Amino acid sequence: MSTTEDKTRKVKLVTSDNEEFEVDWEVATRSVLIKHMLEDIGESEEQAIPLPNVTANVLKKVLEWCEHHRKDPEPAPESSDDNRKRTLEIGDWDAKFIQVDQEMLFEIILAANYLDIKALLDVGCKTVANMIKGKQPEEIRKMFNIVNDFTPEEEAQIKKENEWAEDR
Amino acid sequence: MEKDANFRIDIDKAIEAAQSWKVNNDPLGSSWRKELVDLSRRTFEDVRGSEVRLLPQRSESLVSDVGTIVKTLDALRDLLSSDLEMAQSSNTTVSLMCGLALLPGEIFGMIFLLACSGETGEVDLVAVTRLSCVCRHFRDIVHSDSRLWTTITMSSHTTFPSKFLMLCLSRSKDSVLDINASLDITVMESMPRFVEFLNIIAPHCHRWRSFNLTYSIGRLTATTLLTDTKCQ
Repeated sequence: MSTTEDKTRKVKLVTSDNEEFEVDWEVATRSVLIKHMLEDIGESEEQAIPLPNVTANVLKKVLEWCEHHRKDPEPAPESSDDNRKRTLEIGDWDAKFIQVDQEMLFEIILAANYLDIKALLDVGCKTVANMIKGKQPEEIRKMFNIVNDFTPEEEAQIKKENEWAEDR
Repeated sequence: MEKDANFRIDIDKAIEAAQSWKVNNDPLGSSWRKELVDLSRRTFEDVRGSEVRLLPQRSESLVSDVGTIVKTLDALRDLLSSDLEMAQSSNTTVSLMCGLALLPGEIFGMIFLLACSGETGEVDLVAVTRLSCVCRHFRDIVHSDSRLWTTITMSSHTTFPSKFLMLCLSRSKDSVLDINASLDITVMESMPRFVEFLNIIAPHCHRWRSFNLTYSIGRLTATTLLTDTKCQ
């Protein structure tokens, strides 16, 4: 639970390229990792949180997302029923936010995973999932420059195993 | 060298202009600039005698030189434009390829799960199978992620081969299962296939999360959904 004092508190974050960001507690704690680190250091406000796996340009983008979603309710713990509610839908703001170049998209996914920001990780994963959904293997190979590394024997085996799926 | 009606391509002149642009911040260069200024300030009163013939030649020569540079740069631009398109396309592919290569296995699995899930959350095994055909790395991820193998389906007219059904059940490890079965009792093979289907999935009934049974008699259709508690 956050207190009123927490909400006015500022948090310092230091990126891998040594840039310092000062943000509201409410924004920083969208990241479960940062939240736990803040709980560990207690009241020591001056202490900066090091984020050795995130560069400044990526953190800037992640904080933009956290700022927009600062008032969102905390994500509920995962239940098995959640698995049945998977959709690829992304909210309007998030869809615009994630319109970045491919390099940044994957950087955001990695940062969201490291910082433990589940909702942002979802947005990134859904964006990549949308790219591959409904595509044939050859189209996916072309998109990601993947070489078909199956041996002719494996290929024949795969074909046999997957005959049932070919006409669907 | 390519020629057109007025100007030709001259790489040396283009280089001269580029160097002048770089050094003096004026692509026209000092001699052409001087010529342009000199020609521009001439008035009717100035031109007498031999100059009447010389000035048009000098003026045409300047237009030709500058036109040649522009024509050369246009040709260079056209050539580089197609290369730029290729470079941009390659950049997109390289970024996607490297981005994907950096992802840890669990995120890969999450992306695959989202890409293969239908609107109601059921996993489309045809999509899963397609992903497994991309390359060995994809196949290994797909085969090892139990969440991708938890929707077990039998349709009234076609079904997975028994071998594949057993493979799904084994790859789903200990995950809970969503079973969808539909049968048309007017189709002769429907009941024996359903019995065979039940025989394969019954040993895993402790993992059934839902059992969705749709049966039809020709055009009439009814659906029964057994949820977690009813299954138990």
